[in-house]
Amino acid sequence: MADDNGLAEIQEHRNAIDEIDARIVALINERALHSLKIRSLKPNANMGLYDPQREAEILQKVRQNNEGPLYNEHLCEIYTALLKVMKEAPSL
Amino acid sequence: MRRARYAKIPDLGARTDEITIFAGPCSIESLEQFDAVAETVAHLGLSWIRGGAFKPRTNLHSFQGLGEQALQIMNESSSKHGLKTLTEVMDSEHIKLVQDCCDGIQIGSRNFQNFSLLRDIGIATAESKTMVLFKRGFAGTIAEWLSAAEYITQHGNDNVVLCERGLRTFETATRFTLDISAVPVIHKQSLFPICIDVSHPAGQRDLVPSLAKAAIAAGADSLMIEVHPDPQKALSDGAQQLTPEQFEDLVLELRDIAAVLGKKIV
Repeated sequence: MADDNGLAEIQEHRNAIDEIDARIVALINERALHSLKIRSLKPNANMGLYDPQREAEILQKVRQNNEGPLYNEHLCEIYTALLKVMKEAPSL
Repeated sequence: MRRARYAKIPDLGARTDEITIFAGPCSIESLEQFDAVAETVAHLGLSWIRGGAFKPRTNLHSFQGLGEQALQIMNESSSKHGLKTLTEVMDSEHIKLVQDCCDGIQIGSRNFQNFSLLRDIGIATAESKTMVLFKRGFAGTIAEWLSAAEYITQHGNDNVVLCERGLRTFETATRFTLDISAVPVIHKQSLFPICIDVSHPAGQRDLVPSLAKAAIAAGADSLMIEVHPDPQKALSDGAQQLTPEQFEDLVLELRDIAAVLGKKIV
C-alpha cells in the first residue's frame, strides 16, 4: 500500500465514477427522450400516462438484468425514482 | 442574444366541455327530505342526484343510513324527477342491490384500499359499465389511487370517475385539506375524469362556494355537493350541507364561471 493512506486509489475510483456518471446522465436523458415521445403518442392510442403494468414490466427487466453487487431492491428503488420523475416531468 | 424558447403549457383542465354535478343529501333520511333536494336539482336542469343509503360512520352509534329503504326512496324520487342516481356501496353483498337500482356506484374514502371490494365492483360492473365514482383515501397518494383504480378497471369497466375529497393534514380550520392539484395531476397521468367533492374538505357550508369555484377553474370534470332541505336537522354532516336555495345560487354562479371556460354544467 502506498504511504498516502490510499488517497490516490480513492481518487482513481472517483475519477471512474465521474466518467460513469457522465455516461449515466447522458443515458438517462436519452431514455427520457423516448419516454416523452411515448407520452405524446399515448393520447392518440387512448392510453393514460401512468401505466402500472408497464412499470411492473420495467422493474421485472431490471431484476433480470441485475448481475450484482447491488440487490434487486436497490436497483428497483433507483428505477422507481426514475419512473416517478418521468411521470412528473413536464412535456417537451 | 438567444431568445428563451417559448413552450406553451398544455391546458390540463380542458378534458370535457361538460361539468357534471352530483348533488344530494349526505344521507337519505326520508322521502320528503330527498324529494325536496331532487326537486331543486331537477329544476336547475342537472342530471344526477346522490344520497347515502349505507353510511360509513366513524362511530358505531351514529346514524348508519336507511339501507334498502333509502334505495327505494331514491328510486321513487329520481324516477319522478328524471334524475340519475349515485350511492355508496361499502360491502360486496350490496353491490348487486345498488347496481340494479342506481346509475352509479360510489366507493368511499374509507374503502380506498379495500382491494376485494374494488375487485368485486369491477367484476360486477364489467358488462354493464356502470359508472363507479372512486374516492381518494384521505391519506392516499395519487400513485396509490391510480394503482387501486386498476382493481376496478381490470375486468373491463373503465367508466371510473376519480373523486378527490380532501386529505388529512396538520390543518384543522377545515375538515380536510382539499388537494386541488389532484385535478391537473390526474388529467396529466391518466384518462380518468376527476370529480371534486367540495363538501367534505370544507366541513362548513360557508367554505363550499369558494372550493366549488376553485374546482371548476382548475378544470374538474365533475363536482360533488351535499344539499339538505334542513341542514340543522340533518342526521349526518349537517354543517357542510347547503340548503336548496344556497345550492341554487351557487350553481348559477358556477354556470357563469364554466361558461368562461367554454363548459356547460349538467
